[in-house]
Amino acid sequence: MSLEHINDELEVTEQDQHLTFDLSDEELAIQVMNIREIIRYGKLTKMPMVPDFIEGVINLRGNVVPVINLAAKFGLSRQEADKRTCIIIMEVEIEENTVVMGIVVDKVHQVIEIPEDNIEPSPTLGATIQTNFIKGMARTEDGFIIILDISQIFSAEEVAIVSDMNRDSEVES
Amino acid sequence: MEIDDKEHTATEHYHISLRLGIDTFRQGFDPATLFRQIADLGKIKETIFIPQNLLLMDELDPESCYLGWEITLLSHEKKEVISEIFQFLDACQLTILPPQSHFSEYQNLIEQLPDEEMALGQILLQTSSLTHNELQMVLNQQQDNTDVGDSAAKHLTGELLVENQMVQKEVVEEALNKQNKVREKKQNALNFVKVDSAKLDKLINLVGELVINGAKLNQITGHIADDELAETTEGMTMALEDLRENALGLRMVPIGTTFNRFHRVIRDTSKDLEKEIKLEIYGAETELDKTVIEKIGDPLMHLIRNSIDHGIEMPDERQRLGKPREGRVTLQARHEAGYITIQIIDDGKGLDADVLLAKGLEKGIVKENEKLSRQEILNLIFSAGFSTAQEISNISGRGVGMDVVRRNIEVLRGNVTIDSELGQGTTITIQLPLTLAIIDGFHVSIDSESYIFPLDMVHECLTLTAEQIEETSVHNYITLREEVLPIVHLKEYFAADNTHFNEAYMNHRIRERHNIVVIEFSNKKIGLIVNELLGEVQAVIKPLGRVFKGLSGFAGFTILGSGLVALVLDIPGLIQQVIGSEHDYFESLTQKSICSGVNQVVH
Repeated sequence: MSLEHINDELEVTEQDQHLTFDLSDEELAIQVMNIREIIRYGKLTKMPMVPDFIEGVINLRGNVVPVINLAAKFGLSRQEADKRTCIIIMEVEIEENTVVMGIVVDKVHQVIEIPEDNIEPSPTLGATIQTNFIKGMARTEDGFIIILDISQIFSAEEVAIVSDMNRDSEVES
Repeated sequence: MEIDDKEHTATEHYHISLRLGIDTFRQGFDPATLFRQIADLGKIKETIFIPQNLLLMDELDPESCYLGWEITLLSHEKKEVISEIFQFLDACQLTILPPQSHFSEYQNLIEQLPDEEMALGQILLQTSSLTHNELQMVLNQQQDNTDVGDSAAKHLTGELLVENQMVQKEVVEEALNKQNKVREKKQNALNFVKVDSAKLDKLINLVGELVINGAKLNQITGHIADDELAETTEGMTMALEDLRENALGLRMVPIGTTFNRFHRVIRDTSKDLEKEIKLEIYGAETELDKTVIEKIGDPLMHLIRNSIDHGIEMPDERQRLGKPREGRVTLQARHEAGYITIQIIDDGKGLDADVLLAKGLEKGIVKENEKLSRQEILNLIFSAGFSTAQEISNISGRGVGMDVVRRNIEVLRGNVTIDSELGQGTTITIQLPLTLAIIDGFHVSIDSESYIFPLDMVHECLTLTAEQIEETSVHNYITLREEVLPIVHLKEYFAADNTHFNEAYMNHRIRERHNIVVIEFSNKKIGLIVNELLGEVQAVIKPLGRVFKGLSGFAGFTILGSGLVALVLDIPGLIQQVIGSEHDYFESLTQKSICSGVNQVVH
């Protein structure tokens, strides 16, 4: 069997693997493919002159990793950090560069398998989260889980907000 | 050919020493033709008749030639051209000594030859201080001597050339020097090891990790009272510092090689434009990171071409203005507080602020009612789509404007400013970080977050007096030792929004303890208000990365001994942003409200 073939097979199964977590009382899921590791929420360094959904930066074994607060980004109520608060470290492709980023979540649950067929398109109404960040909804025994579209959340335009905001202030001042 | 005598001293004459062969007349040559031809090339200043082998009258052969002259010729032609006149005279003895002034010219030419290994004759030929015929003759002579096997007569080419008065001794020496230099360089090249720069980067990264861990170790051992441990860590810290210096030094190259390229540019372009321009270089030994050097060449080339084309006037024009005919372009580099400053200075016509402003208005870059400072008007030249040249020449103005220059420099985390006096000249100053991946930093805290200042730029640290704090709440400067010091309250400056800077905060602010770090950079001083001063650290600068790449005022991140991340401030960037909004500050003064002041800066 060729190496490529093995990779294909792996990807198929990996694509179905999802990590579920809590964020402001919502149960959300993301594909494990993008996840590098999960670390405990610790002391972050706050960044000046950035939008408030940027929680700060952390030192991940010598690398500086930006951490995003998804609750703030989605406009949900922020929960106080407690001992179950985690940072999910992810690798995201932005304009052909791999960028390592973290997201703050309130509680991590488990890795579950959600086959592609079980994912229903996101409803256009009634969602607490902006629909373009949602990849779909998955039905489980306990109800619905919202599957996030990581590539949309960390798209070039979204990430560029940080740089643009700064540039605007430069032009006007 | 009309030549102004006063301008030429005797040393600018060719000296031709001619002894005609005895059979000259029999070959049908008329010396008078020779003189006419010589006169065509320049002005014959003096001829001294030197009869040779003159015999008694009755022994004279009327068909033989006994003539010889010493001729002083004033000519701008090359030696090769002059020697062509005599090429059909077979048996004559001929020496052409080029003018003294050509000496330095030859020496310069030799200096500027590419660093390739060449025979002495080749060097002299290339700089046209020797003609082909002369070289051939000397080489034949050399060959003859060797054939005869006369070891005493076995002369070096150079010696023969000087002996036969074909080339001045000094020129030969210069050529020999050049030869030696090239050989030396070749020798030196053998002492070099070519290393892939990726490997160097890796090494520097590793050293960076080591420095971070060293800082951590230092912090831990600080809490343990053990002499031996303290001694060991201190020794290690010192070695680490040396290692850091050396590792960073590996990437540093003198800027001279880049600078020297411009000699040729100046020579060629000034010839094209019929201008007389001299390039002066200072600080060629200043070292800079290799990657920066590679990227600074093109912007520099553009700026220099601009200076030659638009800056320096035509020689006649300059003379009329009472300036020396020869224009001067100065290129200098020097180190300044962790930055390298490169300046391109010309003594040309300078920039006309009024013309620039009119152009800015015309192009819509400046709005009608906008008030600009002189500096801002001059900086318009860096705006996109801004060209004041009426016509485009092939030297500059090829669509690659000054805005591209500025962008290129900003990519290197540097900045560029321009200063000009109409009629006096223009100075362009480029400041670039040494891309020191690791710097000596000064650790402060602002709102309980850590920030690092480059230590080189920290001038002093002060604690504000109560009156001074009062002063800062009214306007954005304090009076320090009878000097006005602009102040930036970093906490407020850094805030993304200023909604929480309400009255209660303002009252609280006055009670808060304030430390001021006075930063000095290129003669600008600025006071930055911070909360705590935490001392010196070694900071490994990590890039801001994709997400924060647009964040100006910061050079990057660093990781502290505690494992926390701190931001490293980019002082020149910060100063520029603050000074750029200086007139906003003054507007805000009239409003007497800090909130609006902050507003102006942040938004």
